[in-house]
Amino acid sequence: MEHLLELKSMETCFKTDGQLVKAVDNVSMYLDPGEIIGIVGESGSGKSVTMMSMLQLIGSPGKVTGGEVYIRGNEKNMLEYGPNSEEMRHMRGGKISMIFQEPMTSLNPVLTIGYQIQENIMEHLKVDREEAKKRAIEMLKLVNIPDPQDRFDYYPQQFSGGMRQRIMIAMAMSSEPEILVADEATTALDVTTQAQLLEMIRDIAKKTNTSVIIVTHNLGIVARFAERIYVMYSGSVVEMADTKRLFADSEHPYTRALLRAIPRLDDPKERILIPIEGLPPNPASRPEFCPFYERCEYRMDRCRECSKPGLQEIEKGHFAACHLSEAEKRMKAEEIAAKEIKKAPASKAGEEICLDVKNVRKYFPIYKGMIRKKIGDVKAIEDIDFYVRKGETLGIVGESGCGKTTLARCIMRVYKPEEGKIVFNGTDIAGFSDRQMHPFRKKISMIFQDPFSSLDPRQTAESIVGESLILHKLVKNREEYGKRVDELFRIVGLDPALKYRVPHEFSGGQRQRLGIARALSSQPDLILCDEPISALDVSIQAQIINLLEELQSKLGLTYLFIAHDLAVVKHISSRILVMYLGRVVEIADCEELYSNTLHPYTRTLLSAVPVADPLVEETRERVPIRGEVPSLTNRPAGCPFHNRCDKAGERCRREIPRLLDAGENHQVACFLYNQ
Amino acid sequence: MKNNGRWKKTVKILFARKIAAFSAAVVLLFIALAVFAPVFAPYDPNYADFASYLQGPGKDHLLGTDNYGRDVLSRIIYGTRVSLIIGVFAVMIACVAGTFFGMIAGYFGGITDDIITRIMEAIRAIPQIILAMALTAVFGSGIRNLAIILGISSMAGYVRMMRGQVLTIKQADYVMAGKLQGNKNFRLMFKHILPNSISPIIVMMTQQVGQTILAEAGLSFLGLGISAPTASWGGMVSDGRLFLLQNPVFALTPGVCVAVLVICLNMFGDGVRDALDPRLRGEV
Amino acid sequence: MKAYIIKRTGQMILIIFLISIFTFMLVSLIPGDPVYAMLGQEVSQEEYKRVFHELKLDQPIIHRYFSWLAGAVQGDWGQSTQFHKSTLEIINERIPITLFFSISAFIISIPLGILFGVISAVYRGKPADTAVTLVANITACLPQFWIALLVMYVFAMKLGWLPSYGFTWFHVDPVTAIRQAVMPLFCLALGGIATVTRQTRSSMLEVIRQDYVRTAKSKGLSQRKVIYVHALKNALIPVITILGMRLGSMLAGSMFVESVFNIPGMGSLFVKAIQSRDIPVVQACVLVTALVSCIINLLTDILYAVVDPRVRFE
Repeated sequence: MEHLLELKSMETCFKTDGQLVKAVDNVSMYLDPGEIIGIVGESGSGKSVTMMSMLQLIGSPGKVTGGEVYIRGNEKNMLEYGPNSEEMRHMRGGKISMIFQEPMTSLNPVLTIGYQIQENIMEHLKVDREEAKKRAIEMLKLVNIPDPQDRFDYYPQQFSGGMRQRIMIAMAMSSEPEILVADEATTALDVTTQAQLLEMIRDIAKKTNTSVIIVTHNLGIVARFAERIYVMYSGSVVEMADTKRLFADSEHPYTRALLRAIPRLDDPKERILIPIEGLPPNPASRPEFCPFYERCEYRMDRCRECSKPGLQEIEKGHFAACHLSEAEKRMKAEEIAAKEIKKAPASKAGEEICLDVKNVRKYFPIYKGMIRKKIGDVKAIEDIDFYVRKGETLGIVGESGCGKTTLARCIMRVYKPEEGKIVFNGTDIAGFSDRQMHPFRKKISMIFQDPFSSLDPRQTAESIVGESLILHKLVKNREEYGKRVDELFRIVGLDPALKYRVPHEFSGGQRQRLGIARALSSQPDLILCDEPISALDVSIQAQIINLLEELQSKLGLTYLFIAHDLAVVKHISSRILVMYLGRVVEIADCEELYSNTLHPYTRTLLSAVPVADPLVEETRERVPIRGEVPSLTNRPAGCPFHNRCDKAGERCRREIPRLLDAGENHQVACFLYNQ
Repeated sequence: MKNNGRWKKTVKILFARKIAAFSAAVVLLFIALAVFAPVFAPYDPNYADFASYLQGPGKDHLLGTDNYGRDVLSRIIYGTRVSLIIGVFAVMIACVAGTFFGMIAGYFGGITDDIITRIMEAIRAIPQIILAMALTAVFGSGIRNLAIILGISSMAGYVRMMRGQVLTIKQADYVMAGKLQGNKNFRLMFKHILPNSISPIIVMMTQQVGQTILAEAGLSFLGLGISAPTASWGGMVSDGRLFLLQNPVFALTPGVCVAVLVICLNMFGDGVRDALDPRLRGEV
Repeated sequence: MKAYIIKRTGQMILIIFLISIFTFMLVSLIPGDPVYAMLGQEVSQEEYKRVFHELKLDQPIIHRYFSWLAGAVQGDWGQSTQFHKSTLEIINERIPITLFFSISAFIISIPLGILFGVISAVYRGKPADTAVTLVANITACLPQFWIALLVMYVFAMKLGWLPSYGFTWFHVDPVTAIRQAVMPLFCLALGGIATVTRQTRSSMLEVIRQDYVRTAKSKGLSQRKVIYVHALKNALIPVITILGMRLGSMLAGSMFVESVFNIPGMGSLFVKAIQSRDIPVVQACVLVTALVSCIINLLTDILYAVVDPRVRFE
């Protein structure tokens, strides 16, 4: 059978510091009509670059240095045409459309969205302006943009991120392409929006018999949506199989290791994550042998001596790039399984309350005009009521705009709440001034999301980690300071010899370790973890999760763990708090929340998270999701969720439900229960 | 020093570029001329030999003589002093004052920011040279006054840039982290914000020296800067314009000197910018 | 949009108010007795009293400022100490000439600068780019008065093609007017072209890297459409923001050009006023220049909002 699209031995190089670095190394793949395939890999694996090379969108300093691209209907290798040739432009946009990661910057800010779609239609379907406009409006309707007639003349910045990505989909599909490439298209969006958009892409693709290539780092997404998967590592494809086979019976050690490292929503509480040690090789100094060798649990001396393995067919339609034979792998697998791995003992949550947040409210005034007249409030958080016991982990989940960051900043007293109490270790700090807060600063620390922006680039690792020691006079002299810093480095698994380096000389995972060491330096009781792993690659995430758990049990820390990744939150938390539009909608023990989900929003949220297992995905309950998260300035009256809720009644539109006990240490704010 | 590596790297990158290295050499040559003017100058710049006035270039006087019979080359060499001293000091004044006000405005925001920003906008609304001229009308000229006046009149650009920098850096998590660890405002500003916002200021400084020299030459040309008999490039052009037909070299060469020095300073500034901007180094 | 214009206008009025304080302060900033500073030491007792009274030095400063401001708003800008004429009258004679040169040079330099900038960015690294960048970079560093002298030396003195000085209005004698205006306009426009070229080039190069340009390319649009429809419109936004400043420097540059070509504009008036410490005229010149550049700034701000929809929806 002739493939719809075929890439053969693609090779792309980037020139950095006068050195040629292969970003894509001998990648071949194909795509059949109507098929949905997934390409998974961590950052730097070359997945996006492969797609860009295929369309000749690589700009300086990159260059496609080899390979062939064939698309059905054209005999010739597409790479032989120039990047701006008629044929190439017809393929790009006409036959293959692409959606990119950043919805906020991918649309031209000075042109109306209508114009941008219309232009695409006119370019490829050769119709006149009127016709194109009609089709553009149809496309907007197809992707559920309300009032497409009026919105046609809107500019991109008048839409939310999710809406913009819908517009990108409408634009991509408007030229009736045969292939749609979604390059991390939903990564920047909230889970519910992500699920909505991917489902929409799938539905439209199936209806129009368009093939789809989903490029992502998220194994859950490919498990749910892709039919066949390519796994990429360090510029090459290491495994290819259809989705069920890949998850049930992965062949490449990297794929196997990945599946052991990622937390899943359906995990039992005792599941142990096994991190992949080390880092992917720097593409500039990639070895001649298997690039995964250094991190591979299955490695044998032979792997080092042979050159890089090519893809081999293991069974029909299942390829892997590994030197080891089936028997060798089985033997190694048994060896690995026999190794005892202990989960850090769960820390014991005492009865004592560490943090008690009562009725906290924070509004941000909106000013308008020359004299800055106040015209209203952004109601960021309202009626927040919860407590955290000593030694436990409370997970806080919610989508963007739910107020979790505002809440964290109120607790850290970056913001002063308008109302309510924040009782920390028995003292209400809600109204404290900066001076009064000073002694408490060392007792509450924070770990940030972005390990690149949370460390001062001009300070050495030592002074970053040791700053609190000086500020709070926790050490007596220079010598003690050095000793304590070294100790902190060791606690988080870093070599103290690295302490004179500056942050950009560390990798992402190491930087996050530095951030943790800094948080620990003042011996705090409570640590706020604000999305501490979401900026890290999947293979690194498990290392950090395990480190946090280990530290908790060793030092008896209390965590407030804020995240949008529900699988991670479930893995690490003992109790979970769910927020929606500035309010707490549900609090329960971890297991209870997942097995007995009460609030309709929590249910929607859980069902939107894809699980990295196609078999589980097939049988899961799907809760349909309506609409988008409204902006805080026009929060609906009554229950904030009522306009997206299937079960909303008359009362939900009028009254705000209060957070009440539903038994089993489970609280929920919904009229369906107990009110 | 802990950041030694960074600066070394920057300097290495800077001098690896031929253009930057070449312009640095030219600038150094001018500095040498200024410092060792008595050594390089063949004559006393103010020695008037009325017998040989307005001579064209020749064996005795390489660039000829002016209307008082003074040696043009010697006067140009001494003129380098004026240009460089005013250029450097004015930029230093502008930079220190501008950075300070910009940091305060950006960091504290609110009414402090409003006041500083409005005043700076008002200063920017008057073209620099006109502002400088108005100030010379009040304070008079002379090297010291000119340096102060040109410094004040170019300060607004630094304020604006520094304020923008601080506003961006204030958003960075590491500043929040610093605050949460218990850093006081003052320490946060000088230990965390200032070091991270300094590179664009340095780039601006290197590029502004040239502009200031141009402005000084302009003022002197209009007769509002350095007054006779002190040799300054702008003043020489102004004196020489009346004798263009007799000795064009007298009026035109000082202008060439201004141009060459400013071009080299600017190219050096571009080199500094490229070396300091990690985007161009391919690190980000 | 309306709110935006109102806001901008309000800010402009505030700035002009601040500038008026500054210009007023010029008198009190003068070290020593301002009357002696303005008129010299050998001034008659009567003259001293008259000027002292005129400057209202016997009244408190706030009072003085507001009566000065009230006068300025009504067109009473005081007596020029050197010409013994009303300042307003003198300014009225001079300013049309300066505005004529600055605005014409401004209008000439913008389209040319944008054109060269786009060419240079599109052919980045090619000979055309190298040539444009080199010429623009060098031109931006040349002292304006020196270019003027050079041009005058070559075209008026050596070749004798054009008159070396003077100014005539077009309606008085068109041929002379054009021949006299060519060199000053060329010198004034040159710096403007260089700056606009540099700004356009760098902002084009910045825009070409943006995600939305990649999107446009991925749609299979032709190179021409990508550059002229998607990139240029965005690249012009930062160029517009510097235009306001450009006119200001045209006004400043006009001072040198007027001085070299002996044109009776506001520039030469200003220089003379400073040399003779004719403070009322100095004040008037500063205020008028600031007023003109503020108005141009306001216009560019409005233009900015027209081009950039992001401003409109803030």
